Amino acid sequence: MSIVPISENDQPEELDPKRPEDFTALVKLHHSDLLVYGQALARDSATARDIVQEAFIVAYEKVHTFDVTRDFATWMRGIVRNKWREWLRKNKKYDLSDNEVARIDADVAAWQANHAAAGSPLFSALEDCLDKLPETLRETVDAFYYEGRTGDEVSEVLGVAPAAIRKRLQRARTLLKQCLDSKLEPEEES
Amino acid sequence: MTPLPDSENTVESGERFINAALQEHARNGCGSDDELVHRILSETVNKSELRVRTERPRLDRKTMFVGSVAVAALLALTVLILSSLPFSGERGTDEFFLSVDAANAGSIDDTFLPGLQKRVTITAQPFEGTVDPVSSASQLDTIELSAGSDLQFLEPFSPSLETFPTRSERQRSFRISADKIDRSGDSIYYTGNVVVEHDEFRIEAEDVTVHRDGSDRPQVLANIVRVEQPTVNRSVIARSLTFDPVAVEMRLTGVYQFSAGTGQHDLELGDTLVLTASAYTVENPKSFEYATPSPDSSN
Repeated sequence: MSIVPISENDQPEELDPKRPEDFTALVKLHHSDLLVYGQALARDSATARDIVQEAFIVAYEKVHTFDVTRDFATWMRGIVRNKWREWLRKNKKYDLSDNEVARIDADVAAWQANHAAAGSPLFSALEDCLDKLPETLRETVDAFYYEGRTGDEVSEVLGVAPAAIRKRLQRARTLLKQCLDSKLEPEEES
Repeated sequence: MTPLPDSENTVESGERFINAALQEHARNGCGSDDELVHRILSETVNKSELRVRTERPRLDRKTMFVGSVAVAALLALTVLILSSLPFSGERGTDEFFLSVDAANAGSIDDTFLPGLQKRVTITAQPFEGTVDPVSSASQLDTIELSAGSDLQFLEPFSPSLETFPTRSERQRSFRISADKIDRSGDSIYYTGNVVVEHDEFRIEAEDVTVHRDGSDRPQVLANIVRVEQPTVNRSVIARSLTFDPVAVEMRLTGVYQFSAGTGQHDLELGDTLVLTASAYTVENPKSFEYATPSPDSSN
């Protein structure tokens, strides 16, 4: 897995979350990546949105404690993580191991850094990678994720055994992840 | 903690990220989640300093008593001052009338929100500017029909209350009044004691935004809301609400209190309460299936 380390230089210097207009810009810049983070942790879109909203509210209320020399995205992920843990405690949901959380955190961190530094958002890269999937994998991904079908329904629609559908989706996710990671590699100067 | 099902425990942790990215991309595409951004900004940088938060600190009895006396005195003084002034507090009001065609879609006239696409014609535009409530009746008389081939009115609209839409169309109208109205681009922001009135319900909110949501349907977003549906004896207090005026459907999140006829109902973080004129449902976070069509198929 290639991960671009977050450095202080990755965050545009002019964005200071203590300034309302900059906080607004930071919300717009980071909310999508944080939604992915919340979704990966909580596995539910509505919960992820609640968690991200609560996290930004907490961040705004405590913005005076934010050290401007630190990375805003890292700070926000920490708050999202805390909010997710609160949600876990209240709802007695499944937990993730520290390693799993760290892995998810690293993936999102890499894209937040890339987004902030190069203006290259995750979803644009994802669309590029989806276009490169083999047809059989693409139709499976489309049916499962974009048409909202269950695994059984995908199996029925495509006329493929459920086990094969599962394999296809796993393979598609692996390829997409590799493709996304490759887009994080620094581009060679021409 | 409830352990993950076996089928999910085997999923590589690296897949959770790409899985979440796919789900979010499927939900919202490449664009930003405008509704979420709006909610966040409403609760942070755009939050009026005068807004009263719903989470109030607990006060002891003495403090409450002293505070109550002080507030009562202040209110009395305020009423006295206001009554001596030559005007009373005027609130702006916008009234929206929607006419829906067979395609079951609706939008606000593009003379009002220029960026909206139209599949349906709205029959009247909201009043421009702040309206004196005293003269609102006469304002109704000045509503102009926006021309369109798919108008649903049986008769040409004329400046008369008698030619208002039929009963079913009247249900698609609603009125928003607030202390302050700001119009900006594709959105209208209502702040300060906002009241949304509809045939089927009444919403009180700290702020309301009417804007386009990227599709062709107008969206009404509200924060810190109380919803009353007197005809079905329902009452909700929630952090945020999305109202689809065409479908007459409300989606509420952050529900603090919900009572419906038989009593109180508890909702959890992440639950979405969906209210329509006649029914309600609670959408719970779904346990995500990691491409596991059937749990035993892996054997």
